[in-house]
Amino acid sequence: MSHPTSVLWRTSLLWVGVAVLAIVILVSRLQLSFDLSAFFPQQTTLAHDVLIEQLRNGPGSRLIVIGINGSDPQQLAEVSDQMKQRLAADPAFVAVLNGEFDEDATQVPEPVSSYYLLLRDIDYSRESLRQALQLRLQDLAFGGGSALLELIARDPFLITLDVLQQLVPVDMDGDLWFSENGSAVLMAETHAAAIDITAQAAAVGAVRSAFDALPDAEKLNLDITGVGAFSVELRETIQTEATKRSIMASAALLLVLLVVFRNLRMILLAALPIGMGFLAALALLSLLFDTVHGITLAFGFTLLGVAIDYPLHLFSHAENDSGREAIRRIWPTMRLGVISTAIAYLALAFSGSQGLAQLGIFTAAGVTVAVLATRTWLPLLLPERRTAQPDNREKPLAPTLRPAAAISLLLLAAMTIAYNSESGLWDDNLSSLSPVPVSRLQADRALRSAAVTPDLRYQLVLHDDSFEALLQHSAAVDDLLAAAVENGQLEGWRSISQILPSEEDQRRRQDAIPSPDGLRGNLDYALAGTPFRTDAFEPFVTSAQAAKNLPSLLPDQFTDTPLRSWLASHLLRIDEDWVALVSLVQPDVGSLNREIQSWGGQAELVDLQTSSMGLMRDYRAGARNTILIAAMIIICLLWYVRGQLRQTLWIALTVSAALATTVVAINAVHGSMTVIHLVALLLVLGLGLDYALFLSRSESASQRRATDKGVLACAASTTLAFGVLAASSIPVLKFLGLTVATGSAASFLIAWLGSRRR
Amino acid sequence: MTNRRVTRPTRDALIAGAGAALTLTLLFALPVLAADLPSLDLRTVLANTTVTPPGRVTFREERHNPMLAEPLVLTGYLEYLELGVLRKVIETPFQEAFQVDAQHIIIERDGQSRKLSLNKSRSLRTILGAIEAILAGEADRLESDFDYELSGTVDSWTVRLTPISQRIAKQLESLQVSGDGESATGIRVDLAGGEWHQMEISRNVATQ
Repeated sequence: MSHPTSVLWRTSLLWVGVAVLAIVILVSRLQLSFDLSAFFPQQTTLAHDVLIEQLRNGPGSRLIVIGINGSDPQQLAEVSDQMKQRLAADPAFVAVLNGEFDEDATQVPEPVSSYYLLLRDIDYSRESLRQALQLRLQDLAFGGGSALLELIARDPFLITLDVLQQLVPVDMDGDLWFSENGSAVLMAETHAAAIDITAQAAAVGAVRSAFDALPDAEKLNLDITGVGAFSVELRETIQTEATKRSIMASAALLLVLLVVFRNLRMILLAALPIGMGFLAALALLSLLFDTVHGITLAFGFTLLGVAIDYPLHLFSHAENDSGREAIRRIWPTMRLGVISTAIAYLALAFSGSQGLAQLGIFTAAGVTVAVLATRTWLPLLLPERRTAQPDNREKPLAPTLRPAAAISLLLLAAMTIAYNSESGLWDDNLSSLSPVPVSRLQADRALRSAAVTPDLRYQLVLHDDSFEALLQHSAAVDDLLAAAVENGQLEGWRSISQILPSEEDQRRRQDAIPSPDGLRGNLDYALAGTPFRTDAFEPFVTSAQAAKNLPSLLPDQFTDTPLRSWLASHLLRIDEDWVALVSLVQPDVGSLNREIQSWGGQAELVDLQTSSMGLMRDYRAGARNTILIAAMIIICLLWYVRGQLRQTLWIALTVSAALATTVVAINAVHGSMTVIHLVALLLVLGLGLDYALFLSRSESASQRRATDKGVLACAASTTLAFGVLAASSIPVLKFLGLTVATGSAASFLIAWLGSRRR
Repeated sequence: MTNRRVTRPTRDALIAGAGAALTLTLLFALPVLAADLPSLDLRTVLANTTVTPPGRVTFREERHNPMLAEPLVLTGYLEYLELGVLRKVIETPFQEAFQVDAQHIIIERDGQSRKLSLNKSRSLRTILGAIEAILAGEADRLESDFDYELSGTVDSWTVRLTPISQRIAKQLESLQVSGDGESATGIRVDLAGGEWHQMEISRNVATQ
């Protein structure tokens, strides 16, 4: 059969137009993001909101951890000191710590320096001042130095020191930090959040430059870890991985196509639907979302393994027939396969994470566009062949479908899964999804162990829609926590109200400050009989008068100060609510939680670890339900379209057996399954359906040979392409790769063995 | 506004800083300086050093600083409890005690004690290194951290130690120990900013 050239031109023009449009959209709108938390589930509770916010912006997340080794401890101590000096001068860092107290720097940061007298309740009475001065004399009997003298003169109650203790991101005892492997350890707190990759890359660059400028840099080894540093590494890894894996997978595909079809033109044509699917799906994503995640893009390549099936089925059937005749014949099967696959993929869109929703939409749109290109454009581009008349005269025969193998495998796999489920079928640790390699996380832990970082697992969460009310609420909780400290239920706590009191508290404290003469009178009384000069505390009087007339301290006044990051990690704005996070020092969780329960809903104790596992459990349960619903829809669709219960059951059993076998394989190789494995099983479901649908077709012997060849080519190419992914260093891709490669191979083998041809 | 770093002195650390170093210096220096000095040579001084705990001496200390109209006068006793463990007990005008070992300093005040790491700072470690050097008779080690100056006669001598490190010198100007033919009689510490402490040590060394 011939086709008019005009049809070819019109269709080609249409598809080229689609491609140009997609490119225009991509150029003008595509924004890539590397925020990994997009792949975490969307938050459902306040605790989950807090968890995600902590992962993105928590105090621990802004620490860049620096380890230096390769020399003796004495030289490393020098190096640590030099690094600290250099980095401290860099405005990218809030603070640079190496364990030692800073002997030279004794400046108190704003706004604490101006507002310290409004941050605590102070008793300015004669007796209270007298007691304070006696304590300061005792301090002077032990210590000394101009910094201490200046501080005492301005702040005889040493409130400044109490406040500053709230701000320390890590507990320090003055020892220089050394990790167990002998590395000198520094911690640099960045102003920028960990998710601000550009700023983190600059900070990591600053650390490298400071290191390279060291006198013996070439003899020393530098390691940089931490959430921000890992994000920077990851960006490089994702870029490298995406490029490398794409090239390798393309090579694998080429190989399969060359072996199967031995035709270069066909190989080039096979790329058309995939290319169109990729461009159109990416353009759609950039229209639907503000940013497209890097992993989603890396996933674009996933499409290669799935969408290549359609041209392969076509080529296989067009070997003895014209392209248009072949596609007309296999279109019902292909259409059913694509609809089923798209249903499975679209289930991702409801999986509860924006990153996976992008993947689902991208994949579903990609396969749809690819199959449309295969249906409308590709047949026109295939070489004309004389129709093989004898084949057409053959009577189509239905294959004998034998479910025995599938049932046995399904039972065997189910038993294995049931046995394994006791030792943990599921891994709900959020960290399992982290793309940071385990060895890097271990390196980070080893370096961090040099310092005592505060326990961030337990936090007290308060929230209110009014900021002032939240601060008052927090101050009330401060009183309750003080009692809890007395009862030995915790060592201490850090709350927003300790550094930013409510306006009401600030005004009350301003009112409590006596007049200059009144304060001097009380001081004179307190100074009597002490060796202090009568004017020794004049700086205190001046400071008190200044504090009395200060405007109220508000969050804005922290913006340009070193304390803004502290504030940001203890005060969140989630939707319309203000949320205060109270960090707890060595809480006795059981008894403290009982105590908190008795406060009548004043605060919620959040265990970030339990919360994160709960988050993943909810997520998994949601995904499992979505898959079950998708599976039911697909089975109903098959039964409706094919109209044969036995055939539909065979397809369902075959696909289920393949899925169960894959689960067993994952358990054997990766151990417990993550939610990503579950999502990958959706892709396996789509592939299994495709193979089972084609292999259960009623067709003539020659058509059946074409089908076998096409399905084999599909399974081989998918298994190979995803096998390439399985070797990736990015866990999400690795999990997907292994699952889909195994699933694809299992789906083919089970369907092929179960469909005996007459 | 400039991006000033957050300084993180904890209350204990700030107070303990130079203070701990100086207290330790005084305690450790004591036995060394009780030795005879036949000629004014540091190596001879160190060679004659022999210290056997336990021991106890009484002291009177004056602390001068710009906040004080008159010196803060402390009296009490110093104890050498066992090798590496020393204790300074203030009896007037209030009661307080500090005990140091190789790793920590324990401050006892109002019936409560706080334990702090001794490695509060590089300067403190350097000073303690010097003290160890004196106890061990290692003149070379002492010379690597301090310039020293010996003056007077065997019966009335003074050794003045000044830190070589600029960083340490920013806090500690000098350490001056004087004595007679039998033992040390006084130790003066000059800190930056016009602050100085003078300790007079009683000749009556009481063995527990």
